[in-house]
Amino acid sequence: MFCKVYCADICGIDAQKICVEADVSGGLPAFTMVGLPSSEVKESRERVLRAISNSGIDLPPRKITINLAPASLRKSGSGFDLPIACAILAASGFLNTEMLKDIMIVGELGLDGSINPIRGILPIAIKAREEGFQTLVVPEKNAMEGSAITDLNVAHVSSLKDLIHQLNRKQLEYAEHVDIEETLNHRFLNNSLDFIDVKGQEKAKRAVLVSVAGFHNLLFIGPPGSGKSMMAQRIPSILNRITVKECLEISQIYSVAGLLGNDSLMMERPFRAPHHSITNAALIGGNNYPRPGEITLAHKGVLFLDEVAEFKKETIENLRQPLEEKQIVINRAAYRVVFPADFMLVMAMNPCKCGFYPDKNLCNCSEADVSRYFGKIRGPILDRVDICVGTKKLDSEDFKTEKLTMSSEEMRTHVNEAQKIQLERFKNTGISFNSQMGRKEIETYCCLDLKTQEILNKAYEKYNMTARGYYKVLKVARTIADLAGEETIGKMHIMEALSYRNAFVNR
Amino acid sequence: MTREEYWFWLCNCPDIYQQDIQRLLKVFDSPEELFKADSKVIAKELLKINGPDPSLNRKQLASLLNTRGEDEIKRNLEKRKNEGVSFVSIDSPEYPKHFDVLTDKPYAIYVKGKLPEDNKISVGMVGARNCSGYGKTMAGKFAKALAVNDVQIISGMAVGIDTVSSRSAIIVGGKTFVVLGSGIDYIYPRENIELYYDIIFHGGGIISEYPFGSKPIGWQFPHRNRLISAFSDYLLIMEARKQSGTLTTAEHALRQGKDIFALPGRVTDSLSESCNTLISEGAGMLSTPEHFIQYILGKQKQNRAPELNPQSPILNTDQKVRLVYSVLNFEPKIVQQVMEETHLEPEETAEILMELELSGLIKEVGKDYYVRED
Repeated sequence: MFCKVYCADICGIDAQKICVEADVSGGLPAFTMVGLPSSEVKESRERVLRAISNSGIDLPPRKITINLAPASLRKSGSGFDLPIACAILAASGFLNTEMLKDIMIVGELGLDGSINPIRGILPIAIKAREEGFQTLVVPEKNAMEGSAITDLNVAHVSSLKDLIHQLNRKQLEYAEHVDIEETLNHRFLNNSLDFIDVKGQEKAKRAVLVSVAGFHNLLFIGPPGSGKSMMAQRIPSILNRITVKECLEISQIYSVAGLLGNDSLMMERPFRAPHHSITNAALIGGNNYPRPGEITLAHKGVLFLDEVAEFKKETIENLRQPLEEKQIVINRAAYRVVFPADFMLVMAMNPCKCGFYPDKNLCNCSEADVSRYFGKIRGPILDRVDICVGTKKLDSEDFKTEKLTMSSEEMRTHVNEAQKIQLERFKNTGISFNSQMGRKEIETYCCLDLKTQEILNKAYEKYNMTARGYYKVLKVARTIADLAGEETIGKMHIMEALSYRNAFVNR
Repeated sequence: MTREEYWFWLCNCPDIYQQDIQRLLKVFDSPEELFKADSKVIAKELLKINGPDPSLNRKQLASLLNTRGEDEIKRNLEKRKNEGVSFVSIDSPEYPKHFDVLTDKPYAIYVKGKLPEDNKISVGMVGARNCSGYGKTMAGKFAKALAVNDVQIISGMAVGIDTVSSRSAIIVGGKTFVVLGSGIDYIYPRENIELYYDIIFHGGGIISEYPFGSKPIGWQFPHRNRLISAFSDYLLIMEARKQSGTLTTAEHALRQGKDIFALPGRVTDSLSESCNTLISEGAGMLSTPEHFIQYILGKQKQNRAPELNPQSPILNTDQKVRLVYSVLNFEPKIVQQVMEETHLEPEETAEILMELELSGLIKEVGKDYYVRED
């Protein structure tokens, strides 16, 4: 007998509908699987057969043929176990085939017939709804993830026996639908990391505030232990709230990467801080089977590169296009996928090899050493950094200080106000932040009065700025003016923006 | 061949160093005699000098014998002259009188540009290569003030203090002379290539005692330091760490009976350590350039001050600007520190610092580190 069961496979961060066809017929007992399965899919034969027999079903020895259609697509992942088992059982007459027509089934089997969670449930659920399926059967532990999608019934099962029982009774147990918006609104902010802990770095905190308000990329330069990483880790705490759409987008990525917790979606903006030994593929994405890299995992959040001078040169160079295009296209012989990569880049580095330049009492590096050190990241990547700030080596007094300093909440209020202005400004333009302005927008929104223009021209001459640097100053000045709630960019905004330029690094 | 040409031959024989020449000339009266001497005689003398070291003897003997082509020697000397390098041997009337104080005078020197004039005061300015902002600023101030008073600045063209001293002298139209630790045609360090030509162009000179094309080998630098101090009437040590190479120059100066002056610094600054020690051991203390000039020129001469930046009007208009300027000095200070000392907000501090920098009163030397510019 023949039977069809639908399931899905992950490709990039999207799912693909796959049809599992099973044929059970007379002949010498055998088990054949065709349709370009990868080795983990081929191995499912052992899991499926043992799980069936351990669920108390005695499968008669017959010739079993499995086809995964479309046959041209490579299939990977462990989610095929359950649909294959269902197809075999239905073809052997143990399962009611009527129900199988409009449900999609995914899940990994254990030898005892239990069903283990798989990655990528969220994109599979989205695909199932798109393809018109009414029901998606998922492992119990993936239920919450799947039920975030509206207009789709998500049934959760804990074992193969359980599923057979439910299907034969024609009564599936559906998970309760999760309202993301409500969850987001009622969520408590994770305030274990707060900017109030950062003391004696008012200047750097101001720079963080400006860069978050306009989504500008940021570079910290400072001696070891001056709080560069500490501040970077706290940046998510002042980012604006995540929207439902963004939550689904980020969760989808994390679902594919298998980084989503068992029963939650991504309710906060991500903060990724890969170590500098990272390989190109791990940062950018791609593998034999396409997996999202760190830049995609940082989508709508912060990518923090600590000790950026220690990263391999070409690894850093790889960031150029994603920073520009907000996505990364990964082309391999076998596939082509597009991953989103719209992140805020935050980098940190020491001012020299030993880390204390220009304090000559601690630093013994020569000028040549210093420029060699900066040479490691010289070039186009620095061109994409709008704000550069030095951090101070802390002295013992800074720890004791009782001085009031801005908390994350205060900073977030400023950020929200500035971003509200930007949203209003860029309503119909397709961009949302000052840092994304093109030349045309800059000319429209960054008008200077004569006197301020004169100052900027003077600075342009004096610092030998490039055209890109000139526009960067204008963009940052726009954000500073927004933070102050001013409509026109004044002299003090331009001056502050000039102080964030990274010309020193480029010397 | 002329005497000068014989000297040129001897000083350019490969593998023959100054002490070898010194020993050979104890036996042979002049380079000419050595030039014409029989190979057996020379071999005997070399054996005495070097002891039984066959490879060295063979090398030096070959070097002395195989370079005796008169045409080639003449052609080489001519070539150097065409390149603007003059060869000054110990017998030449142009040989600097300054070197009379030396016990190991170089037998010849190579000069590009001019030699320091005898009737003018020369001041040697040396210091750490890896110097601080304070050292740089003060070296610049002294060099400028001295150069406008027609004092010749002698230095070594190393990076750091040496470069700043020579460069500052040129800026105010003064003359500066440098003694290299490499061959005269080997510009080291490479980044000073512009300075090298500027020194010649502005009436100064480059001096080296090492043959053409000599590489900058380590031992040559402390060795040439004796020439720097010999050229100088006064030696100024601007900045030096403990056990700094600069101290060899001071030692030579002491031996040659020159006056040594050192720039004092804070006792906690490692770069001022040796300067402070020198002062405590009796070196002169540098305070202001005017003071020093007064001392060396005496009262008979008019003390001319170099033209400084005229006081910028922005310092007089705004009290906050003046406040920020007042907390900055010649040590790099980070913006955060400035904020803490002035109790200003980050936005305001950034604005004022930019304003000061745009008007050329301060300079950013590291990201967010500022120093006063003079």
